[in-house]
Amino acid sequence: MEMFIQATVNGIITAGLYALVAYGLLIVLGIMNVVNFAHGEFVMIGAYFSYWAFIATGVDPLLLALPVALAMFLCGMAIYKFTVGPVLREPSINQLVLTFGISLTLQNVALLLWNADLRSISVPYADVSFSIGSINLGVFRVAAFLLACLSIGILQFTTHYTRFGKAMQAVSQNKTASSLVGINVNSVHLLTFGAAAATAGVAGVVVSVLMYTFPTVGAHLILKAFAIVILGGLGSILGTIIASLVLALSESYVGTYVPSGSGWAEGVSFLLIIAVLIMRPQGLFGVRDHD
Amino acid sequence: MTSSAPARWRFLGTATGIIAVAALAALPFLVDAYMLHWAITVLKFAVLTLAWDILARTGQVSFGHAAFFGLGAYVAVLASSTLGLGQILSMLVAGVVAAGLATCLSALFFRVRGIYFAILTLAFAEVLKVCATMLTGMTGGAMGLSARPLFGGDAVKSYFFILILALFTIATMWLLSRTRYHFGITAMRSSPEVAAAFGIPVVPIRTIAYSVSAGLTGVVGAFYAFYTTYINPESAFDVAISVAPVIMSIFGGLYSIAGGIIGAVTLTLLQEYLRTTFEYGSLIVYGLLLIVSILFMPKGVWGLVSGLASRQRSPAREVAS
Amino acid sequence: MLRIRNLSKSFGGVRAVDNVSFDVPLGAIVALIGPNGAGKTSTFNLISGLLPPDSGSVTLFDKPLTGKSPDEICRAGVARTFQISQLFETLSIRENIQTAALFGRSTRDDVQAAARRSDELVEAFDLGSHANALPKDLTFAQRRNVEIARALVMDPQILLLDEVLAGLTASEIEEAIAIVERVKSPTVGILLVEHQMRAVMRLADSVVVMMNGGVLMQGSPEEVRKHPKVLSAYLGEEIDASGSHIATRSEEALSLNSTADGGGRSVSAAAEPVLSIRNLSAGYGPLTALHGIDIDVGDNELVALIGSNGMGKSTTLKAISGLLVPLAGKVHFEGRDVTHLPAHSIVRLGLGQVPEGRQLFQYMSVEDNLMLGAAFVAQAWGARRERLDEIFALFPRLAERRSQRAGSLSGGEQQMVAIGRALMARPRLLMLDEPTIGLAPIVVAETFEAISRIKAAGVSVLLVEQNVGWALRVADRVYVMESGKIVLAEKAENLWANREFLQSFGLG
Repeated sequence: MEMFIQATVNGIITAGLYALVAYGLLIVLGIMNVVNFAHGEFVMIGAYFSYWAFIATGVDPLLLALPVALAMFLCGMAIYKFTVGPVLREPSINQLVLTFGISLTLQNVALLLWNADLRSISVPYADVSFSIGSINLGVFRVAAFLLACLSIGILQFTTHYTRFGKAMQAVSQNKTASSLVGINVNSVHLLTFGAAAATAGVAGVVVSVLMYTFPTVGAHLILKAFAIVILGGLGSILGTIIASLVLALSESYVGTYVPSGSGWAEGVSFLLIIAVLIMRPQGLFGVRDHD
Repeated sequence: MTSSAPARWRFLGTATGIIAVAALAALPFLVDAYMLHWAITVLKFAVLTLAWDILARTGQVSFGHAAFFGLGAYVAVLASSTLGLGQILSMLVAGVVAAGLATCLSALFFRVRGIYFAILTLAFAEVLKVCATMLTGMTGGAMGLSARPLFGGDAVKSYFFILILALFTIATMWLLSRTRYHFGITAMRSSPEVAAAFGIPVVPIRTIAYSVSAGLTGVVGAFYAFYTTYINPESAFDVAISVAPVIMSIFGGLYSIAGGIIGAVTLTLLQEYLRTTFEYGSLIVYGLLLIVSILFMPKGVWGLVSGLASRQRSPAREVAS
Repeated sequence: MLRIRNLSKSFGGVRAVDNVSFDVPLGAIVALIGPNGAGKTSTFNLISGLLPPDSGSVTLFDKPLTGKSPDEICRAGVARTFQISQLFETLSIRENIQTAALFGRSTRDDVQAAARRSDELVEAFDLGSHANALPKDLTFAQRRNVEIARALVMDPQILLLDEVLAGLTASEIEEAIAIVERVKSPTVGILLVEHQMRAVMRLADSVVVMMNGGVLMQGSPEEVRKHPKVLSAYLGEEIDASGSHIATRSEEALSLNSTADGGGRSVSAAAEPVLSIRNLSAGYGPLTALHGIDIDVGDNELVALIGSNGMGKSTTLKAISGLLVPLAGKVHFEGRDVTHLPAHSIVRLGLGQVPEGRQLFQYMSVEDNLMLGAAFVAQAWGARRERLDEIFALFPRLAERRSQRAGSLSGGEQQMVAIGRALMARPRLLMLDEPTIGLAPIVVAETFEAISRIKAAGVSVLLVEQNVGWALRVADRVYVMESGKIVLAEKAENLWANREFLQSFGLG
């Protein structure tokens, strides 16, 4: 039982990170219909940003979330402006290959600059933990989880209760109609891409705290994020959160209970992708009205 | 004049082909072992790229051909070690198994299109990688398997094997381009629905294309296993194997034999050079080339070249008519 | 003979094709007509297997086609063209036709023989000089010819032609009619969907009229032409043949206030038009759809732009509103050059558009849809609540449905949302693109009433409409378009008196 609860708690903490990464992928897909392979690398850059800033200044990485988000916001907009934006009207496969190229480039720049070492941050209170019953919780990990939740909350608020959020929703549903109600569709695309990169930056901070920082950390995460987006659909954040929990918990349980399970756990997300795509060929992507 | 211009081009094409084949046949006797290894690598990627392109021509872009590459590698090694089959036979078995798997998968996988097909195939390759890692009893797990060297380590024989496979692939594709299926496939790429409305048997063509593509990829995987004498899940199901043909095709030019070859030769040599030069990050150039190709050269090198060539030829045609 | 029995198909609760039965005998031309949205193209898709029917059957010489895949149906001898031409864009013209020849009914693997047969059709359709060109380099009419040639080369027993005359010029239509007449033979049955009534009357041996998914009637062209039900379906005559609905527009002025200085202007339309278009040209890719047109819309004037399908009416509106970048010409709105402004800036200036096909935000509530109309227009955002109430007064049914998802509304209600959303921005000029398409006659009447009331509230209106009867009744002035040109500009009452005259444009 204890093991079960511990696995559950670990799963939930990981789910927070997954949901945050998936959210960024999702808004770009939903609003400009682009699958951004490079999103994982944005997370990776965020993680290195956090790591190096911590090494240089010793400031708690969780406090760095804001400047990292800001920097990534600007980077995201620049990348959109010069690469993704110009091919928006081209076949989706061109966009996929383009973002893949960006992903490959960023990954290898990171390899070149910082080699393949796994890096981790250790703050003074890294070992501080508290217990609820028999469950042991690291304060640092919980704080990182809360940061992920907070970011999702901010995004959720922005997309639902602000005029810009309404514009994002409008653009995701109908671009012609959006421009006919006075929405500058290009700006919405630009800002959305920037915002997605910013969330990736925050996710990177969480990664640097919860896991290790290395050049292909984003590539590992992006495939899981795909699985979540495919499973959860484009409709509501609820779908994304549930899908993140499903994935993270099943990974956690498989890792805990199946013999040498951590290896099998890696495959869970891929099996989910395959099962969902085959059983719902239209993809859960198209399903918006299950909210 | 009207007939002489195409005839001249056809003659040039044939002549180039014959010279190229002669040069390729003579190559192992002219270069050192190191160069020969490069030549083998180039041919390996040429077959991979062309095989991948066979499926791409029907309009489906796979990001997971490593599944068949890795499967072929494992099947061949296991067939030769546990069943005691000969190496060439093992490689053929690997191809048949890969093709068979693709046939089974096609009914399921072709229910989705475009980026979803790409992600689906990518995920499938990853699942096989996990299986290969975890089924330790059969595959040796992460430790991998070793194999007896191909042709007892005779690189020249290995070279001729992969050369013949490449020529076989090229010949198959060339012959196919002279049948009605070439038209059917090209039409399917524009729109499977419309193609079907004109009597084109979309489902069987797609299934066969996928199987042939997977089968050839499986044979290359098997060849790789015997040639390097060692495989593990990371190398056999490497995402880079899935991505290489995509990049090479797009760089060289999609849907054409020449484009695939140009892409495979240029990028393999470039990559080998960079890998020996830099310790890390040699794939940067790959990534940048992809970005530049999509942004400025969406039809690839061959598209650019043949575009220029036809622009040069068209005035002659006008004069003639 | 092709036999269609009790064919039905629903999309999300809407019966697009409802219990349709008719025959296409060999040697005959059967025309399938009806207003837009009547279910003609869906019927085509059911016959050719692109859609599976919910119920009913299609048989060819008593062999069932239902349940077969499109390629099997094609090889069984049913060939079709597509309404929006669907050529294989990466194949040359000759190869397009050749591909069909290679896979059609008389399947053969001889590429050379197929090429020869294709060449015959290339010549017959006068495409010889373009045989090696790609489809994108062809004119609209040429693409149409390739479509027909590609279907014919397959040796079909049944040929389905989907609006092959739409968008052609008068002389091109004559050529196309001649082509269809030539195709007619005792061994081929032809089913054509067509809007061009003149062509239908000349070509068809029998006519099937569809309306709201069902068969309204079938008979000879003469019978159909005279039948009152058909007349009303096309012209909306049964609502009010005398045109007295016009009365509503001046009397029922409602509390719908236009932009700041809208209503009370006394400047005459001719002196200072709200919208002035000069020499406007626009197109899609290589295809020029608009050839230098001039249009004026005066202050508080209701101008209708009429013409048959594919003549450039919607293109005109898109070029004005910035959805399409014009190739040449000028658009002035309230004296300001808006020609190359992006669509969102033009809307913010007070030029609203109700687009073709309504284009609602399907997954948002009615109220959110309406609010978005004002959300990005500075002068409208402040008083959005009041404006919303005005819209609800204009369309009381929307008030009842305010929290419902827009996509779940009926067609008529969706149209109200689309109009209401555009009005939320307090436009000085409202452009409506076929607002009554696919609506039931009673809803059409309501919609036109609403348009009259919008005008009465001081908004200028530019209306694109296929329903000529109604357009003439509500409009002040009318422009008639044909093949991307304005061929007639006239006061509505003058045209109303000479309605028959419009028939020469294939209208009415």
